[in-house]
Amino acid sequence: MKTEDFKELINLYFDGELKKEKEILLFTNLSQNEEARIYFKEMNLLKTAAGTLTEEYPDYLDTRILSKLEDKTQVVEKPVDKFHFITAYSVAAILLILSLFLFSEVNSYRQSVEAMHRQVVDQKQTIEMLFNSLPGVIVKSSM
Amino acid sequence: MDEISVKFTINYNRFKKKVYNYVLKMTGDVMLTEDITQTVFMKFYENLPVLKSENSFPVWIFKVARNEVFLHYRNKKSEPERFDYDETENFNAGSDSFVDTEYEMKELASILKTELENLPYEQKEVFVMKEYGNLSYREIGELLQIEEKLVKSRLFKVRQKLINNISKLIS
Repeated sequence: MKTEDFKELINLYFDGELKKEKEILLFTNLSQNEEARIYFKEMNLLKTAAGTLTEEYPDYLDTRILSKLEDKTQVVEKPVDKFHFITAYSVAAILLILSLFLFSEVNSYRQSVEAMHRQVVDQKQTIEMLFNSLPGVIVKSSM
Repeated sequence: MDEISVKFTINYNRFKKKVYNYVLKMTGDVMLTEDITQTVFMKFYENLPVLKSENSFPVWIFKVARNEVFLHYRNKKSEPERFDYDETENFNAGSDSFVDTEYEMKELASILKTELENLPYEQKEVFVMKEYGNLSYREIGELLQIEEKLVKSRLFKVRQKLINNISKLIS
């Protein structure tokens, strides 16, 4: 295998982009080629050294960013809350007016039903009186 | 906690260290890095509802971070160096140039830090994106708007250059 080819394989391996089927080729080459082993060790060293230069993420930056975000979300939420309040009040007022209207309607309907009921009772009494005022019927035998 | 906040928290914890290290390595300024990191994540939060696929998050976040770094250079009126290095470096490392102790590793890391600072901007950027951003070749290509092949070759050359320089210094 050419120098450039095994170097490419080693780079891909360290970058986690080497396909599984090519790993065998890489390790076979590493076991047979001294130059490849040296390059592998150097790459490993470079990776480790680069890794030691990684800085830890500061905790105070977490607090700073998250509190800034909290402020931002509160600012965004305020008009939404106001809108909800206005909607809730309007709906409540509409429901109140509607219930008053329905109550008055039901009341007038009940009064008219009562009047009709009274009228029916009066008519029934009149009919009974008319029946009672008729002369009695005498049944005679024809035999 | 709403869906957006949950998504943000997950991705913030996933990318914060990578973004921080990328910006820090590109600017070398801690305070500026903190400001840029904050800006990046604020923008990420604002744009989260319109970002469709989670796969696009790393590229999107690093694109914003990269733009912010560029903006800093533009405001300072000191443009980053262009990509103009000699591509025909010879590999000439000694076989015994390896370090064993922690002290030697620290020394090596410090040499690498200096070497990184001296790299041309484009070379340094590819290396930092890979090593500290942990981005794939495809993602780096998408970010830099270059082909994946070119990403690979740039990265290999930078590493070769670093290995050569470090080996020279060690020997």
